[in-house]
Amino acid sequence: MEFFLLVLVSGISIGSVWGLTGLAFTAIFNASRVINFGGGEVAMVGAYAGGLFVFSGIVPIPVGLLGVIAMPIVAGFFMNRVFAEPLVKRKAPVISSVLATLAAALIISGVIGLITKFQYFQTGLIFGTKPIVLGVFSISRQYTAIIVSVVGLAFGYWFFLNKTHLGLGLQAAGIDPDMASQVGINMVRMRDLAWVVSSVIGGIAGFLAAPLLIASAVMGLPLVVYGFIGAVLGGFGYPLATLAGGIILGLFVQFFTAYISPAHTDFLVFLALMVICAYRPTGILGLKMYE
Amino acid sequence: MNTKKFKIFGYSIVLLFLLILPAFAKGNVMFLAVLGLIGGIAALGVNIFFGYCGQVNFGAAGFMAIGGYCVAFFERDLHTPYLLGLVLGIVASGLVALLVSLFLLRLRHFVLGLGTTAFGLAIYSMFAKGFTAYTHGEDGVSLNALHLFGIQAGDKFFYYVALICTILCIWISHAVRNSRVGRGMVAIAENEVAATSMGVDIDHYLRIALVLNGLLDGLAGGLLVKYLNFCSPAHFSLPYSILIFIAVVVGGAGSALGAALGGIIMFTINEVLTPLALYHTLAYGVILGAILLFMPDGIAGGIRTLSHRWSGVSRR
Repeated sequence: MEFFLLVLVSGISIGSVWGLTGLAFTAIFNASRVINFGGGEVAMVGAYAGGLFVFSGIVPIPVGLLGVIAMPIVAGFFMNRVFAEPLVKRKAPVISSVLATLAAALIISGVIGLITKFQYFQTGLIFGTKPIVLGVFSISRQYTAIIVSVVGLAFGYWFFLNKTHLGLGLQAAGIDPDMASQVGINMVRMRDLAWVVSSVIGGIAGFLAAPLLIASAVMGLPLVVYGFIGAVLGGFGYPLATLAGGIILGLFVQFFTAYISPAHTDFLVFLALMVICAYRPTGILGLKMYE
Repeated sequence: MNTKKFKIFGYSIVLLFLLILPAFAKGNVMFLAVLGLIGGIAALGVNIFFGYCGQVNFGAAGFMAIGGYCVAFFERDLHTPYLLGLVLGIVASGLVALLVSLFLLRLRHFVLGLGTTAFGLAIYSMFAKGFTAYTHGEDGVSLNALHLFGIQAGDKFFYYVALICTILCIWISHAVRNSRVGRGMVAIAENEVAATSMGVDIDHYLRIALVLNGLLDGLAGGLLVKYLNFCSPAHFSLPYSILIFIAVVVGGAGSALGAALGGIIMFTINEVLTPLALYHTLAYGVILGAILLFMPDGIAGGIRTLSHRWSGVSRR
């Protein structure tokens, strides 16, 4: 029973991290129809910023946390303004912008890799190592922090997107750019905003997940793949469905690894994904997908 | 000089250069050339699916893995000649492409990109972790060197084999592109709705494209493992799929010669940078970014513009 709960909690935590990465995709996709391959790299920047500012102790922790939010924004802004935006302006096909974000991701990963020599690094646990005890079961503080903040971020983002003027403008920018600029929405600023929102989400995901995943300069690509899988599983473009998809994927992976066979997990996950993609391309929740 | 004469002149010089390269190549230039040509074949496969049909494929290394492991399996476990293993590897890769086309071709655009990524990763983890009794997992399978009439086949032999295969694949690409099927594929890339209304059977044509992609990449994988005498999952991982895809973009999607050139360039760079492994990722990012921002049609597009200018044809 305890083992079952342990697997359950770790599945939900890792799944929430993937869900959060998927949410970072969604933020940019909703505003510009671009899939950001750099989502994982933004998370990596968040993880390293955490190591640099929060755990090194060179600045007070609140200032450090600001750094954790600021650094991914810088990375996201660089990706957008140098790579994605020029191609959008040129009215190049969307696939070119998507590939441009891949180029940006490789550059960021390469630069950080050069600085760190592609070594793994160990971050601390921000809330300490003492677990929270609930009766017979104890749960790690890091996992609790991840789950709480992920749910908070997802609802916050959902509220922002659907209930605020700015969020509706963001959606309009993605659904019909010409019409949106006709009614006075500044498209360039909207896309900037989308990248900033996405980078904040991605950066926090990376910062929280750094102790779970093995943080290194190459951690981005797997995060992108799993985050993307989770997003498609849930229903691409819908914040809460994306989060649900990520958590479902996390549970599936952890339970399969724990109870059936760790060696065949990846193979079966990807095989299952292929089949699900083919028969439920709108996600297992069956929401209508954006064109 | 008109454009056509200029083209023939240019191609003959390149072909002549490629034919006599082994005569004066020193050091590991031959090694790089063979790997480059194999990369060119792999890129030609992706070019049919991405360049002609406009569909993203991030799983090309999966097809290469099937070709490669088929060669390894038939040689190690069944002791058949290399050529049989190679042919069966190509066929198996094509059949797998046919099989996955049933699932994957329901998807489009970026979701298809994800689907093909999943395919590549599934194949990779199948060989790396899943069925280690046959594949020896990450350790890989060593193969015997290829002997022809009792003489060990060297770099030069593989170079000419790879060169012939590359030219053959370029010819196949051209033949496909200039056929009814190829025109249908390009119509799909332009606009699926319009293509359907003109009577193009989209699913059928995309299936053909994916199977051709599988056949060509299976060939590339089969050649690669025998040339290296070693078959390990490290050659068929996701970064390699992305490398092949980048190669097509760099060379010029939609142009067979461009894709082959892109494959040769990217795989050569990949090998040259091996001692400087730290710079790999950065170099790919800079190359891909520069091409996308400054040369949207890839090297082939750039050469086309230049040759038009030199031969006196005004730019469109």
